Amino acid sequence: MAASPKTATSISPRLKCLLSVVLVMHLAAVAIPPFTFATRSGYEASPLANLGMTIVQPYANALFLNHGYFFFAPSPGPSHLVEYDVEFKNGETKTFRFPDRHSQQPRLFYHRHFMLAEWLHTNYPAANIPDWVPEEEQRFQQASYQRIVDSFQQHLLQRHEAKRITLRRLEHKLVAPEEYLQGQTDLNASHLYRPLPIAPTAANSP
Amino acid sequence: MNNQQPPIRWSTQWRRGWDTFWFTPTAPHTLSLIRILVGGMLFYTHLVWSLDLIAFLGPSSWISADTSQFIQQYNYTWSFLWYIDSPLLLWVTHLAGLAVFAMLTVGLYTRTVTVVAWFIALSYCHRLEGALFGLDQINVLLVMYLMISPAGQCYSIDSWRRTRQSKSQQTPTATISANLATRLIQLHLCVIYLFGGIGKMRGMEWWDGSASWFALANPEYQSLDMTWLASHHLILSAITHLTVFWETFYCLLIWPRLTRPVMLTLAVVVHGGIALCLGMITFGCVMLIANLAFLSPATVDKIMRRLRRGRAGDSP
Repeated sequence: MAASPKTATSISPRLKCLLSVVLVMHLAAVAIPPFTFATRSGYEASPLANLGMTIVQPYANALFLNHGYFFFAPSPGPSHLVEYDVEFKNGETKTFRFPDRHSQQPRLFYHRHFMLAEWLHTNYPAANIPDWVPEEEQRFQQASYQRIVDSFQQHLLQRHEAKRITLRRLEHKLVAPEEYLQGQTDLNASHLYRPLPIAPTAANSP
Repeated sequence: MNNQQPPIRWSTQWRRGWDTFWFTPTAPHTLSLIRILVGGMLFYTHLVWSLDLIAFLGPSSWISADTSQFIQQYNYTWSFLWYIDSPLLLWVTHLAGLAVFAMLTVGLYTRTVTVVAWFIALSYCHRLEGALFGLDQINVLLVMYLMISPAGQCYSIDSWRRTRQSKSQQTPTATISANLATRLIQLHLCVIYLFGGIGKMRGMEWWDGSASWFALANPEYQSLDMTWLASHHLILSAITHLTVFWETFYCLLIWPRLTRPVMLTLAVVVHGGIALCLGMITFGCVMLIANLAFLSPATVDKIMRRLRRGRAGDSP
């Protein structure tokens, strides 16, 4: 038999009114960030969404509600990895790559490293930034990316007790169904990995 | 004689509807079940950080505390983990966090522990930006809404202790706060799926039917080899279109009683598929936990009673 719970007393109309206002504001902070993300095309988003975002951003950021929810969207694209050369103090060199499914177990632990590699890629300063983007914002993006690179390098230097670390970004191209049917069945074939620059090029500079 | 009732004003209907939707007291069974599962998920999620805690939170971590603060300087975020450098202190704090998540799972001092669990989970997210994904977003939103609910009223050590103290079975109380928390989870989930669907609609592969192949044939995600589907274009495009339509229209079709079971069944199929084939078991599970918000407290109570009876029947 289902439980027949007692019922708590109702609340005053004034409190209902107050709660309703809070609820509407909270739901706005839930919906406006993904709406803004959805309207974004390159650097631009809908002016209305931007206005809403200006209002809700502090609250949404503080409560970790500022997300786009674009899972595998707009297109399930290639993965991004990080490869790095370690030069040890005795002169020996070795190359590593992350994420690495074999050494990073369980799956969630592997996924954390995968996200780190993707994050580095996401933060790589975009080329040909439109002129109207404030220089200060461009410089902040450059500085953020450089800080991430430095942080990764510092971590790896310490981890491997190394003399030098050289990072590389890698893109792992996906195989289309037609290519697969034509014989390209090895999804990890070496030609599917494309090296990408780690340092921003002149086109990415403010 | 005039039998006609005066027409109810549109604004009155809206007010009544709003009142019923938000302020009808609800029993806490569903939220209590969600509490157990989210507590377990938070515990596991943070347990996994323990595998290399210092590499993620220590002085020379992947993303140093300075870098994390620099990147988020305009974000109105804060994390107590930005200020802990000592590995020993990090471990003490981390183990205390794990204890809090374990207490949330079993429902010990639930009211207080839920607030502390939210604060800890939020702090980890603000500190570890860059290593996060959908799992963390859902973990935080669920524990945030549990904070305002009486999620410790059922299936908890708290309720067991209350029963023992009063020497009679304590009946759970239907409260407005339980309803508010449930509604907020439901609506938040609708927003997530709606924009998940809209996002996919911006990509050509979600229209030409090939998107599911590119997700399934991505070696970094792949956990079950589904490449045998390469020659089955009909199946691939059916999976692709079903995903987009299900996500986009979830926010509408989850509410009517007639379509709700269909939408929930599809949730199990889609998230089960993500968990099994794309290696994101935790993400698949946490999305299903959030979907439980659409089960009525009576249904959850019935399931839990059946489980308990089954367990009692199993014992010699």
